[in-house]
Amino acid sequence: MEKIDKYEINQNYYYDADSHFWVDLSGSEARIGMSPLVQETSGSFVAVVFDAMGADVKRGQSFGNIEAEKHVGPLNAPVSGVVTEINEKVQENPRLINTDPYGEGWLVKLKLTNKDEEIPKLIFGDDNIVGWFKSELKKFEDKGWIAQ
Amino acid sequence: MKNWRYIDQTEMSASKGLATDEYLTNLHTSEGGTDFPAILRLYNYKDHSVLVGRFQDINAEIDIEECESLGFGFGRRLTGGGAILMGANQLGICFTTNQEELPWEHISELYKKLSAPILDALKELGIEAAFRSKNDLEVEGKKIAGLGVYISPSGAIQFHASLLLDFDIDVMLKVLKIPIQKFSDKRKIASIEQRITSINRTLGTAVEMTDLKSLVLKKYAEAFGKTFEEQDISTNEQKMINHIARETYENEEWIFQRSPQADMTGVSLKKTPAGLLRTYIGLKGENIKSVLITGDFLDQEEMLSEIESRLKWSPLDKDHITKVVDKVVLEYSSNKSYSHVIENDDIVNAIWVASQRALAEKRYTYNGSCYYPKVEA
Repeated sequence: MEKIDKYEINQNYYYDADSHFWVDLSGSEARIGMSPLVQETSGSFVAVVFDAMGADVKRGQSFGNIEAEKHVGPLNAPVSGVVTEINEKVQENPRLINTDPYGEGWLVKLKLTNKDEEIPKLIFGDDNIVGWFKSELKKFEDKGWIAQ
Repeated sequence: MKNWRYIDQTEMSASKGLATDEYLTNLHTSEGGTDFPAILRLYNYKDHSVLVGRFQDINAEIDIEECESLGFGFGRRLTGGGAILMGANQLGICFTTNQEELPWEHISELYKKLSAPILDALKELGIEAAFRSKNDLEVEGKKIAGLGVYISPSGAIQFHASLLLDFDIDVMLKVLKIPIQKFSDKRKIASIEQRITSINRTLGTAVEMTDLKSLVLKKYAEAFGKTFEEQDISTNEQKMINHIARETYENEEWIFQRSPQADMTGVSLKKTPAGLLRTYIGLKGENIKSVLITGDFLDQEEMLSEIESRLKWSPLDKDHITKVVDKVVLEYSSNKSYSHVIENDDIVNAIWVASQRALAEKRYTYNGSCYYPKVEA
Protein backbone atom coordinates (compact mmCIF):
# COMPACT_ATOMS: atom_id res chain seq x y z
CA MET A 1 0.00 0.00 0.00
CA GLU A 2 1.24 3.47 -0.86
CA LYS A 3 -0.07 6.58 0.84
CA ILE A 4 -0.73 9.47 -1.54
CA ASP A 5 -1.99 12.52 0.25
CA LYS A 6 -4.53 10.97 2.67
CA TYR A 7 -5.37 8.02 0.39
CA GLU A 8 -4.01 4.49 0.79
CA ILE A 9 -3.54 2.95 -2.65
CA ASN A 10 -3.22 -0.77 -3.18
CA GLN A 11 -0.57 -1.23 -5.89
CA ASN A 12 -1.22 -4.93 -6.35
CA TYR A 13 -4.50 -4.32 -8.13
CA TYR A 14 -5.40 -3.22 -11.65
CA TYR A 15 -7.29 0.07 -12.14
CA ASP A 16 -9.76 1.28 -14.75
CA ALA A 17 -8.79 4.88 -15.55
CA ASP A 18 -12.32 6.09 -16.35
CA SER A 19 -14.45 4.45 -13.70
CA HIS A 20 -11.82 4.31 -10.92
CA PHE A 21 -12.72 0.70 -10.18
CA TRP A 22 -9.97 -1.58 -8.96
CA VAL A 23 -9.69 -5.18 -10.17
CA ASP A 24 -8.11 -7.80 -7.90
CA LEU A 25 -7.12 -10.48 -10.39
CA SER A 26 -6.77 -14.08 -9.32
CA GLY A 27 -6.44 -16.49 -12.26
CA SER A 28 -9.57 -16.16 -14.35
CA GLU A 29 -11.53 -14.56 -11.51
CA ALA A 30 -11.57 -10.96 -10.28
CA ARG A 31 -12.89 -9.05 -7.35
CA ILE A 32 -14.12 -5.52 -8.13
CA GLY A 33 -14.23 -2.42 -5.93
CA MET A 34 -13.92 1.37 -5.99
CA SER A 35 -10.79 3.46 -5.60
CA PRO A 36 -10.55 5.55 -2.41
CA LEU A 37 -10.67 8.76 -4.46
CA VAL A 38 -13.89 8.16 -6.34
CA GLN A 39 -15.70 6.90 -3.28
CA GLU A 40 -14.84 10.15 -1.51
CA THR A 41 -15.88 12.46 -4.33
CA SER A 42 -19.20 10.65 -4.73
CA GLY A 43 -20.10 11.33 -1.12
CA SER A 44 -21.67 8.87 1.27
CA PHE A 45 -23.18 5.81 -0.41
CA VAL A 46 -26.79 5.34 0.55
CA ALA A 47 -27.89 2.30 -1.45
CA VAL A 48 -26.42 -0.39 -3.69
CA VAL A 49 -28.29 -2.98 -5.71
CA PHE A 50 -26.43 -5.59 -7.78
CA ASP A 51 -27.61 -7.59 -10.77
CA ALA A 52 -28.43 -11.19 -9.94
CA MET A 53 -25.77 -13.86 -9.55
CA GLY A 54 -24.96 -15.38 -12.92
CA ALA A 55 -25.48 -12.11 -14.81
CA ASP A 56 -23.20 -11.90 -17.84
CA VAL A 57 -21.73 -8.40 -17.79
CA LYS A 58 -19.73 -6.72 -20.56
CA ARG A 59 -16.96 -4.18 -19.92
CA GLY A 60 -18.53 -0.73 -19.63
CA GLN A 61 -21.99 -2.14 -18.98
CA SER A 62 -23.91 -1.95 -15.75
CA PHE A 63 -23.76 -4.66 -13.08
CA GLY A 64 -25.91 -2.75 -10.61
CA ASN A 65 -27.13 0.62 -9.41
CA ILE A 66 -25.90 2.90 -6.70
CA GLU A 67 -27.21 5.93 -4.85
CA ALA A 68 -24.69 8.35 -3.46
CA GLU A 69 -25.66 11.62 -1.85
CA LYS A 70 -25.54 13.32 -5.22
CA HIS A 71 -27.09 10.93 -7.74
CA VAL A 72 -28.44 7.54 -8.75
CA GLY A 73 -26.41 5.82 -11.43
CA PRO A 74 -25.12 2.56 -12.82
CA LEU A 75 -22.06 0.60 -11.71
CA ASN A 76 -20.26 -0.02 -15.00
CA ALA A 77 -17.97 -3.04 -15.07
CA PRO A 78 -14.25 -2.42 -15.71
CA VAL A 79 -13.96 -5.94 -17.21
CA SER A 80 -16.38 -8.44 -18.74
CA GLY A 81 -17.46 -11.46 -16.74
CA VAL A 82 -20.15 -13.51 -15.11
CA VAL A 83 -21.15 -12.44 -11.60
CA THR A 84 -20.16 -15.31 -9.28
CA GLU A 85 -20.47 -13.55 -5.92
CA ILE A 86 -21.98 -10.33 -4.64
CA ASN A 87 -20.99 -8.65 -1.41
CA GLU A 88 -24.16 -8.84 0.64
CA LYS A 89 -22.55 -6.87 3.47
CA VAL A 90 -22.21 -3.90 1.13
CA GLN A 91 -25.84 -4.20 0.07
CA GLU A 92 -26.83 -4.03 3.73
CA ASN A 93 -24.35 -1.29 4.57
CA PRO A 94 -23.17 0.70 1.52
CA ARG A 95 -21.07 2.92 3.80
CA LEU A 96 -18.45 0.14 3.73
CA ILE A 97 -17.49 1.39 0.25
CA ASN A 98 -16.54 4.70 1.85
CA THR A 99 -14.97 3.37 5.03
CA ASP A 100 -13.14 0.28 3.75
CA PRO A 101 -12.92 0.44 -0.07
CA TYR A 102 -10.27 -2.28 -0.41
CA GLY A 103 -11.56 -4.49 2.39
CA GLU A 104 -15.18 -5.09 3.32
CA GLY A 105 -16.28 -2.53 0.75
CA TRP A 106 -15.59 -4.72 -2.30
CA LEU A 107 -18.57 -5.08 -4.67
CA VAL A 108 -18.72 -8.26 -6.75
CA LYS A 109 -16.63 -11.17 -7.99
CA LEU A 110 -16.59 -11.97 -11.70
CA LYS A 111 -15.54 -15.01 -13.71
CA LEU A 112 -13.76 -13.19 -16.53
CA THR A 113 -14.91 -13.77 -20.10
CA ASN A 114 -12.52 -11.53 -22.04
CA LYS A 115 -9.47 -11.39 -19.83
CA ASP A 116 -6.68 -11.44 -22.46
CA GLU A 117 -8.08 -8.48 -24.34
CA GLU A 118 -9.28 -6.37 -21.42
CA ILE A 119 -6.73 -6.72 -18.62
CA PRO A 120 -3.99 -4.98 -20.69
CA LYS A 121 -6.31 -1.95 -20.95
CA LEU A 122 -6.15 -1.44 -17.19
CA ILE A 123 -3.46 0.45 -15.28
CA PHE A 124 -0.99 -1.83 -13.51
CA GLY A 125 2.42 -1.61 -11.86
CA ASP A 126 3.65 0.56 -8.98
CA ASP A 127 4.85 3.55 -10.99
CA ASN A 128 1.91 3.56 -13.38
CA ILE A 129 -0.65 3.40 -10.58
CA VAL A 130 1.04 6.07 -8.46
CA GLY A 131 1.49 8.38 -11.48
CA TRP A 132 -2.11 7.93 -12.59
CA PHE A 133 -3.50 8.42 -9.10
CA LYS A 134 -1.47 11.57 -8.45
CA SER A 135 -2.63 13.17 -11.70
CA GLU A 136 -6.24 12.19 -10.97
CA LEU A 137 -5.99 13.62 -7.47
CA LYS A 138 -4.67 16.91 -8.85
CA LYS A 139 -7.48 17.04 -11.41
CA PHE A 140 -10.11 16.34 -8.74
CA GLU A 141 -8.65 19.02 -6.47
CA ASP A 142 -8.28 21.60 -9.24
CA LYS A 143 -11.86 21.12 -10.32
CA GLY A 144 -13.24 21.17 -6.77
CA TRP A 145 -14.67 17.64 -6.90
CA ILE A 146 -13.41 16.49 -3.52
CA ALA A 147 -16.47 16.14 -1.26
CA GLN A 148 -16.75 18.76 1.44
CA MET B 1 -26.95 23.16 -34.73
CA LYS B 2 -30.07 21.20 -33.84
CA ASN B 3 -32.86 22.69 -31.75
CA TRP B 4 -33.73 21.29 -28.35
CA ARG B 5 -37.24 20.03 -27.61
CA TYR B 6 -39.65 21.61 -25.17
CA ILE B 7 -42.67 19.86 -23.68
CA ASP B 8 -45.32 21.51 -21.49
CA GLN B 9 -47.70 19.26 -19.55
CA THR B 10 -50.20 19.63 -16.73
CA GLU B 11 -52.37 17.36 -14.59
CA MET B 12 -50.03 14.38 -14.77
CA SER B 13 -50.83 11.28 -12.74
CA ALA B 14 -47.96 9.94 -10.61
CA SER B 15 -47.32 6.92 -12.83
CA LYS B 16 -47.59 8.75 -16.16
CA GLY B 17 -45.48 11.64 -14.94
CA LEU B 18 -42.67 9.31 -13.87
CA ALA B 19 -43.01 7.11 -16.96
CA THR B 20 -42.69 10.17 -19.20
CA ASP B 21 -39.44 11.16 -17.45
CA GLU B 22 -38.07 7.65 -18.06
CA TYR B 23 -39.25 7.52 -21.68
CA LEU B 24 -37.62 10.86 -22.50
CA THR B 25 -34.37 9.85 -20.77
CA ASN B 26 -34.15 6.67 -22.83
CA LEU B 27 -34.54 8.62 -26.07
CA HIS B 28 -30.95 9.77 -25.58
CA THR B 29 -29.43 6.30 -25.71
CA SER B 30 -27.99 4.78 -28.86
CA GLU B 31 -31.14 2.67 -29.26
CA GLY B 32 -33.52 5.47 -28.28
CA GLY B 33 -33.48 7.72 -31.29
CA THR B 34 -34.59 11.34 -31.24
CA ASP B 35 -33.97 14.31 -33.49
CA PHE B 36 -33.50 16.43 -30.40
CA PRO B 37 -30.15 16.26 -28.57
CA ALA B 38 -31.81 17.53 -25.37
CA ILE B 39 -35.35 17.82 -24.04
CA LEU B 40 -36.76 20.17 -21.41
CA ARG B 41 -40.10 19.14 -19.94
CA LEU B 42 -41.90 21.54 -17.62
CA TYR B 43 -44.92 19.95 -16.01
CA ASN B 44 -47.28 19.66 -13.08
CA TYR B 45 -48.73 16.65 -11.35
CA LYS B 46 -52.36 16.39 -10.38
CA ASP B 47 -53.20 17.61 -6.88
CA HIS B 48 -51.57 15.67 -5.32
CA SER B 49 -48.91 13.08 -6.03
CA VAL B 50 -46.41 11.88 -3.44
CA LEU B 51 -43.12 10.55 -4.79
CA VAL B 52 -40.36 8.78 -2.90
CA GLY B 53 -36.68 8.50 -3.87
CA ARG B 54 -35.30 5.52 -5.77
CA PHE B 55 -34.23 3.47 -2.76
CA GLN B 56 -36.52 4.75 -0.02
CA ASP B 57 -38.91 2.55 1.94
CA ILE B 58 -42.24 4.05 0.89
CA ASN B 59 -44.02 2.91 4.05
CA ALA B 60 -41.43 4.72 6.17
CA GLU B 61 -41.86 7.95 4.22
CA ILE B 62 -45.53 8.40 3.36
CA ASP B 63 -48.91 7.52 4.81
CA ILE B 64 -50.28 5.24 2.10
CA GLU B 65 -53.72 4.89 3.71
CA GLU B 66 -54.08 8.64 3.95
CA CYS B 67 -52.99 9.06 0.31
CA GLU B 68 -55.54 6.52 -0.80
CA SER B 69 -58.34 8.01 1.26
CA LEU B 70 -57.56 11.46 -0.16
CA GLY B 71 -57.31 10.10 -3.69
CA PHE B 72 -53.63 11.10 -4.04
CA GLY B 73 -51.29 9.25 -6.35
CA PHE B 74 -47.98 7.92 -5.10
CA GLY B 75 -44.94 6.41 -6.70
CA ARG B 76 -41.21 5.77 -6.78
CA ARG B 77 -38.85 7.95 -8.80
CA LEU B 78 -35.70 6.99 -10.67
CA THR B 79 -33.81 9.78 -8.92
CA GLY B 80 -32.61 9.54 -5.34
CA GLY B 81 -33.26 11.74 -2.32
CA GLY B 82 -36.32 12.15 -0.12
CA ALA B 83 -40.11 12.08 -0.46
CA ILE B 84 -41.75 15.04 -2.23
CA LEU B 85 -45.30 16.28 -2.56
CA MET B 86 -46.15 17.44 -6.08
CA GLY B 87 -49.23 19.12 -7.51
CA ALA B 88 -50.56 22.11 -9.42
CA ASN B 89 -48.32 24.58 -7.54
CA GLN B 90 -45.07 22.65 -7.75
CA LEU B 91 -43.18 22.86 -11.04
CA GLY B 92 -41.54 19.67 -12.25
CA ILE B 93 -38.44 20.38 -14.35
CA CYS B 94 -37.10 17.40 -16.22
CA PHE B 95 -34.09 17.89 -18.48
CA THR B 96 -32.78 14.92 -20.44
CA THR B 97 -29.75 14.58 -22.70
CA ASN B 98 -26.53 12.60 -22.99
CA GLN B 99 -22.77 12.94 -22.69
CA GLU B 100 -22.30 13.94 -26.33
CA GLU B 101 -24.55 16.98 -26.01
CA LEU B 102 -23.60 17.90 -22.46
CA PRO B 103 -20.11 16.58 -21.68
CA TRP B 104 -19.38 16.10 -18.00
CA GLU B 105 -16.76 14.40 -15.89
CA HIS B 106 -18.17 14.76 -12.39
CA ILE B 107 -21.76 14.77 -11.26
CA SER B 108 -21.36 18.11 -9.48
CA GLU B 109 -20.82 19.76 -12.90
CA LEU B 110 -24.26 18.60 -14.00
CA TYR B 111 -25.90 20.05 -10.91
CA LYS B 112 -24.13 23.35 -11.40
CA LYS B 113 -24.87 23.70 -15.12
CA LEU B 114 -28.45 22.47 -15.01
CA SER B 115 -29.60 24.34 -11.91
CA ALA B 116 -28.11 27.67 -13.06
CA PRO B 117 -31.12 28.54 -15.31
CA ILE B 118 -33.47 27.94 -12.36
CA LEU B 119 -31.42 30.30 -10.19
CA ASP B 120 -31.50 32.84 -13.05
CA ALA B 121 -35.29 32.54 -13.30
CA LEU B 122 -35.66 33.08 -9.56
CA LYS B 123 -33.34 36.08 -9.77
CA GLU B 124 -35.46 37.65 -12.49
CA LEU B 125 -38.46 37.23 -10.21
CA GLY B 126 -36.51 39.06 -7.51
CA ILE B 127 -35.45 36.05 -5.45
CA GLU B 128 -31.79 35.52 -4.56
CA ALA B 129 -31.46 31.76 -4.32
CA ALA B 130 -28.34 29.60 -4.07
CA PHE B 131 -27.24 26.01 -4.43
CA ARG B 132 -27.17 24.33 -1.00
CA SER B 133 -24.56 21.75 -0.03
CA LYS B 134 -26.46 18.64 -1.05
CA ASN B 135 -29.15 18.80 -3.68
CA ASP B 136 -31.34 21.75 -2.81
CA LEU B 137 -31.79 25.33 -3.90
CA GLU B 138 -32.34 27.62 -0.95
CA VAL B 139 -33.45 31.14 -0.14
CA GLU B 140 -32.08 32.47 3.15
CA GLY B 141 -31.63 28.98 4.52
CA LYS B 142 -35.02 27.70 3.39
CA LYS B 143 -35.47 25.09 0.69
CA ILE B 144 -37.25 26.30 -2.44
CA ALA B 145 -36.36 23.45 -4.83
CA GLY B 146 -35.08 19.88 -4.62
CA LEU B 147 -32.73 18.50 -7.26
CA GLY B 148 -31.83 15.02 -8.44
CA VAL B 149 -29.76 13.36 -11.16
CA TYR B 150 -30.19 9.90 -12.62
CA ILE B 151 -27.67 8.41 -15.04
CA SER B 152 -29.00 5.50 -17.09
CA PRO B 153 -26.85 2.40 -17.70
CA SER B 154 -26.13 3.64 -21.22
CA GLY B 155 -25.14 7.11 -20.04
CA ALA B 156 -28.31 9.15 -20.67
CA ILE B 157 -28.79 11.96 -18.17
CA GLN B 158 -31.98 12.88 -16.35
CA PHE B 159 -31.81 16.05 -14.27
CA HIS B 160 -34.91 16.70 -12.22
CA ALA B 161 -36.00 19.63 -10.08
CA SER B 162 -39.15 20.27 -8.11
CA LEU B 163 -39.56 24.02 -7.77
CA LEU B 164 -42.07 25.31 -5.23
CA LEU B 165 -44.33 28.00 -6.59
CA ASP B 166 -46.38 27.42 -3.48
CA PHE B 167 -47.11 24.57 -1.05
CA ASP B 168 -49.83 23.42 1.28
CA ILE B 169 -48.52 22.67 4.76
CA ASP B 170 -51.70 20.90 5.92
CA VAL B 171 -51.50 18.45 3.03
CA MET B 172 -47.79 17.85 3.66
CA LEU B 173 -48.49 17.04 7.29
CA LYS B 174 -51.24 14.61 6.33
CA VAL B 175 -49.30 12.45 3.91
CA LEU B 176 -45.57 12.82 4.63
CA LYS B 177 -44.25 11.03 7.69
CA ILE B 178 -42.12 13.86 9.01
CA PRO B 179 -40.77 13.54 12.54
CA ILE B 180 -42.84 16.27 14.16
CA GLN B 181 -46.18 14.52 14.40
CA LYS B 182 -46.28 14.95 18.18
CA PHE B 183 -45.94 18.73 17.95
CA SER B 184 -48.95 20.98 18.32
CA ASP B 185 -50.41 22.13 14.99
CA LYS B 186 -48.98 25.59 15.52
CA ARG B 187 -45.47 24.26 16.14
CA LYS B 188 -45.69 21.87 13.20
CA ILE B 189 -46.54 24.71 10.86
CA ALA B 190 -43.82 26.93 12.33
CA SER B 191 -41.27 24.14 11.99
CA ILE B 192 -42.05 23.67 8.29
CA GLU B 193 -42.18 27.40 7.57
CA GLN B 194 -38.72 27.75 9.08
CA ARG B 195 -37.29 25.21 6.65
CA ILE B 196 -39.23 25.45 3.41
CA THR B 197 -40.32 28.40 1.32
CA SER B 198 -41.84 29.01 -2.09
CA ILE B 199 -41.80 31.65 -4.79
CA ASN B 200 -45.16 33.07 -3.73
CA ARG B 201 -44.27 33.11 -0.03
CA THR B 202 -40.95 34.80 -0.70
CA LEU B 203 -42.42 37.45 -2.98
CA GLY B 204 -45.64 37.91 -1.02
CA THR B 205 -47.56 37.84 -4.28
CA ALA B 206 -48.92 35.14 -6.59
CA VAL B 207 -46.98 34.26 -9.73
CA GLU B 208 -48.88 32.35 -12.43
CA MET B 209 -47.57 28.87 -13.20
CA THR B 210 -47.68 29.59 -16.94
CA ASP B 211 -45.51 32.67 -16.43
CA LEU B 212 -43.05 30.67 -14.33
CA LYS B 213 -42.80 28.02 -17.05
CA SER B 214 -42.14 30.67 -19.73
CA LEU B 215 -39.43 32.21 -17.59
CA VAL B 216 -37.69 28.91 -16.84
CA LEU B 217 -37.81 27.95 -20.53
CA LYS B 218 -36.30 31.32 -21.50
CA LYS B 219 -33.49 30.92 -18.97
CA TYR B 220 -32.58 27.42 -20.19
CA ALA B 221 -32.47 28.75 -23.77
CA GLU B 222 -30.24 31.66 -22.72
CA ALA B 223 -27.94 29.59 -20.52
CA PHE B 224 -27.18 27.06 -23.26
CA GLY B 225 -27.56 29.35 -26.28
CA LYS B 226 -30.19 27.05 -27.78
CA THR B 227 -33.54 27.40 -29.49
CA PHE B 228 -36.29 25.25 -28.05
CA GLU B 229 -38.93 23.80 -30.35
CA GLU B 230 -42.21 22.89 -28.65
CA GLN B 231 -43.32 19.41 -29.59
CA ASP B 232 -46.01 17.64 -27.59
CA ILE B 233 -45.94 13.95 -26.75
CA SER B 234 -47.27 12.16 -29.84
CA THR B 235 -49.95 9.46 -29.79
CA ASN B 236 -47.33 6.84 -30.51
CA GLU B 237 -45.07 8.14 -27.76
CA GLN B 238 -47.99 8.14 -25.33
CA LYS B 239 -48.56 4.44 -26.04
CA MET B 240 -44.95 3.70 -25.10
CA ILE B 241 -45.22 5.86 -21.98
CA ASN B 242 -48.41 4.06 -20.95
CA HIS B 243 -46.56 0.78 -21.35
CA ILE B 244 -43.70 1.96 -19.08
CA ALA B 245 -46.27 3.21 -16.55
CA ARG B 246 -48.03 -0.16 -16.45
CA GLU B 247 -44.82 -2.21 -16.33
CA THR B 248 -43.00 -0.14 -13.72
CA TYR B 249 -44.70 2.81 -12.07
CA GLU B 250 -48.09 1.15 -11.47
CA ASN B 251 -46.40 -2.12 -10.55
CA GLU B 252 -46.58 -2.73 -6.80
CA GLU B 253 -43.28 -4.60 -6.85
CA TRP B 254 -41.57 -1.38 -7.98
CA ILE B 255 -43.56 0.94 -5.73
CA PHE B 256 -43.27 -1.12 -2.53
CA GLN B 257 -39.77 -2.54 -3.01
CA ARG B 258 -37.74 -2.66 0.19
CA SER B 259 -34.14 -1.63 0.23
CA PRO B 260 -31.64 -3.78 2.12
CA GLN B 261 -30.75 -0.81 4.31
CA ALA B 262 -33.00 -0.38 7.32
CA ASP B 263 -34.84 2.90 7.98
CA MET B 264 -34.67 4.01 11.64
CA THR B 265 -35.76 7.04 13.60
CA GLY B 266 -34.72 8.36 16.98
CA VAL B 267 -35.28 11.38 19.18
CA SER B 268 -33.35 13.04 22.00
CA LEU B 269 -34.20 15.75 24.51
CA LYS B 270 -31.39 17.77 25.99
CA LYS B 271 -31.61 20.55 28.49
CA THR B 272 -29.01 23.20 27.76
CA PRO B 273 -28.34 26.62 29.34
CA ALA B 274 -29.92 28.12 26.22
CA GLY B 275 -33.08 26.04 26.52
CA LEU B 276 -34.49 22.62 25.67
CA LEU B 277 -33.02 21.04 22.55
CA ARG B 278 -35.25 18.46 20.87
CA THR B 279 -33.57 16.53 18.06
CA TYR B 280 -35.06 14.03 15.64
CA ILE B 281 -33.02 11.88 13.31
CA GLY B 282 -33.85 9.54 10.44
CA LEU B 283 -31.23 6.96 9.47
CA LYS B 284 -30.88 4.68 6.50
CA GLY B 285 -28.34 2.05 7.45
CA GLU B 286 -25.29 4.01 8.59
CA ASN B 287 -26.30 7.18 6.75
CA ILE B 288 -28.17 10.18 8.09
CA LYS B 289 -31.35 10.58 6.06
CA SER B 290 -32.62 13.66 7.88
CA VAL B 291 -32.12 15.66 11.05
CA LEU B 292 -34.49 18.08 12.70
CA ILE B 293 -33.22 20.24 15.55
CA THR B 294 -35.86 22.26 17.36
CA GLY B 295 -36.07 24.32 20.52
CA ASP B 296 -36.65 27.80 21.81
CA PHE B 297 -33.89 29.30 19.73
CA LEU B 298 -35.82 31.32 17.22
CA ASP B 299 -32.86 33.55 16.39
CA GLN B 300 -30.74 30.52 15.57
CA GLU B 301 -33.20 28.63 13.38
CA GLU B 302 -31.34 29.48 10.18
CA MET B 303 -28.08 28.15 11.59
CA LEU B 304 -29.75 24.97 12.83
CA SER B 305 -31.46 24.54 9.48
CA GLU B 306 -28.08 24.81 7.75
CA ILE B 307 -26.66 22.11 10.03
CA GLU B 308 -29.66 19.90 9.20
CA SER B 309 -29.14 20.46 5.49
CA ARG B 310 -25.41 19.69 5.53
CA LEU B 311 -25.93 16.52 7.54
CA LYS B 312 -28.59 15.18 5.19
CA TRP B 313 -27.35 12.08 3.33
CA SER B 314 -24.01 12.10 5.12
CA PRO B 315 -22.32 9.36 7.14
CA LEU B 316 -23.37 8.64 10.70
CA ASP B 317 -19.96 9.42 12.12
CA LYS B 318 -19.43 11.52 15.24
CA ASP B 319 -16.27 13.18 13.90
CA HIS B 320 -18.09 14.14 10.72
CA ILE B 321 -21.05 15.53 12.67
CA THR B 322 -18.67 17.52 14.89
CA LYS B 323 -16.86 18.98 11.86
CA VAL B 324 -20.14 20.04 10.24
CA VAL B 325 -21.49 21.61 13.43
CA ASP B 326 -18.22 23.45 14.16
CA LYS B 327 -18.03 24.78 10.61
CA VAL B 328 -21.63 26.02 10.44
CA VAL B 329 -21.54 27.57 13.93
CA LEU B 330 -18.32 29.39 13.02
CA GLU B 331 -19.82 30.70 9.78
CA TYR B 332 -22.94 31.96 11.48
CA SER B 333 -21.41 33.29 14.69
CA SER B 334 -19.04 35.52 12.73
CA ASN B 335 -22.05 37.32 11.23
CA LYS B 336 -24.47 37.44 14.11
CA SER B 337 -24.63 37.50 17.86
CA TYR B 338 -27.23 35.40 19.58
CA SER B 339 -29.02 36.01 22.85
CA HIS B 340 -28.46 32.48 24.19
CA VAL B 341 -25.74 30.56 22.42
CA ILE B 342 -26.11 26.78 22.16
CA GLU B 343 -22.76 25.09 22.68
CA ASN B 344 -21.43 23.08 19.73
CA ASP B 345 -20.98 20.03 21.96
CA ASP B 346 -24.64 20.19 23.01
CA ILE B 347 -25.76 20.12 19.38
CA VAL B 348 -23.38 17.27 18.48
CA ASN B 349 -24.38 15.21 21.52
CA ALA B 350 -28.08 15.77 20.91
CA ILE B 351 -27.71 14.48 17.34
CA TRP B 352 -25.53 11.59 18.43
CA VAL B 353 -27.86 10.47 21.22
CA ALA B 354 -30.84 10.57 18.84
CA SER B 355 -28.91 8.44 16.36
CA GLN B 356 -27.91 5.87 18.95
CA ARG B 357 -31.53 5.61 20.09
CA ALA B 358 -32.57 5.08 16.47
CA LEU B 359 -30.07 2.24 16.15
CA ALA B 360 -31.13 0.74 19.49
CA GLU B 361 -34.80 0.96 18.58
CA LYS B 362 -34.13 -0.99 15.40
CA ARG B 363 -32.34 -3.62 17.41
CA TYR B 364 -35.39 -4.07 19.62
CA THR B 365 -38.05 -3.50 16.97
CA TYR B 366 -40.96 -5.88 17.27
CA ASN B 367 -41.11 -7.72 14.00
CA GLY B 368 -44.30 -9.58 14.68
CA SER B 369 -45.06 -13.11 15.73
CA CYS B 370 -47.16 -15.85 14.24
CA TYR B 371 -50.09 -14.62 16.38
CA TYR B 372 -49.75 -10.88 16.16
CA PRO B 373 -48.09 -9.58 13.01
CA LYS B 374 -46.32 -6.25 13.06
CA VAL B 375 -48.62 -3.45 11.97
CA GLU B 376 -46.96 -0.61 10.09
CA ALA B 377 -47.42 2.66 11.93
